[in-house]
Amino acid sequence: MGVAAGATANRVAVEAMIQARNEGQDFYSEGPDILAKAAKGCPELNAALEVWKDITFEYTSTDTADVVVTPTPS
Amino acid sequence: MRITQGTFSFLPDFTDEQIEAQLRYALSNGWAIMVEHTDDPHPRNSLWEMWGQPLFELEENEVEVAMREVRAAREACPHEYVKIVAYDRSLGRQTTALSFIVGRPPDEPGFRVERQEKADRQIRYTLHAYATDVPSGRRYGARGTSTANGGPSGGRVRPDA
Repeated sequence: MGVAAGATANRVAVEAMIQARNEGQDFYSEGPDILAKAAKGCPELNAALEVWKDITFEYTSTDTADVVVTPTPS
Repeated sequence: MRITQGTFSFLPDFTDEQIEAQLRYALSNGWAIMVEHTDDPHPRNSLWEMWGQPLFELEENEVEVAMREVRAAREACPHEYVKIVAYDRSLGRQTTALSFIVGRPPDEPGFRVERQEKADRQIRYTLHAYATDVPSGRRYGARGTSTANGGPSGGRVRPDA
């Protein structure tokens, strides 16, 4: 749908989460439900959730201090 | 075209209960509540006319006081935009913490892009709201007299004033 749709999806998602936080909901645990509810009135967000629903970012960081000391003849 | 300014403008319009929940959150943070209105919704026109005084020193359980102002503003300005601004006066912040539109005119014609030709075939772009083609006070279907010279409140008299 293009970048404009992505921007709309992001904005709707942020606003739905802010609304839920301000209303006192536990958005850490209810996050997916809040987004799913917001997506009912917003096809862009619905499409985004469909695309990203199975994607996770659980991997170990590659940005670690794994410098191997170069052996030098003493 | 539904204008999208402030928080929550991409969500469906809030019910009064939802507005009260946001006001409660603002008051629990100690923010002052202001109600503002305008019939000139240009994106850069962010300081709208104030509806009454800012509500400082409201307690968390006094949401109804703020809500009364919102209802009165919406009733008196059915052909204008009405928004709530929550101001955080704490040292180091001293700025708007939350602002969202709570009242809209029934019909929003939107904006057009205007292209002004400059030297060397350059183009300067600007936004023009269709509503501002008529004087303030007669926009969005309002049939009142022009308030162009009516001062900051548009010459409007508050019902309880």
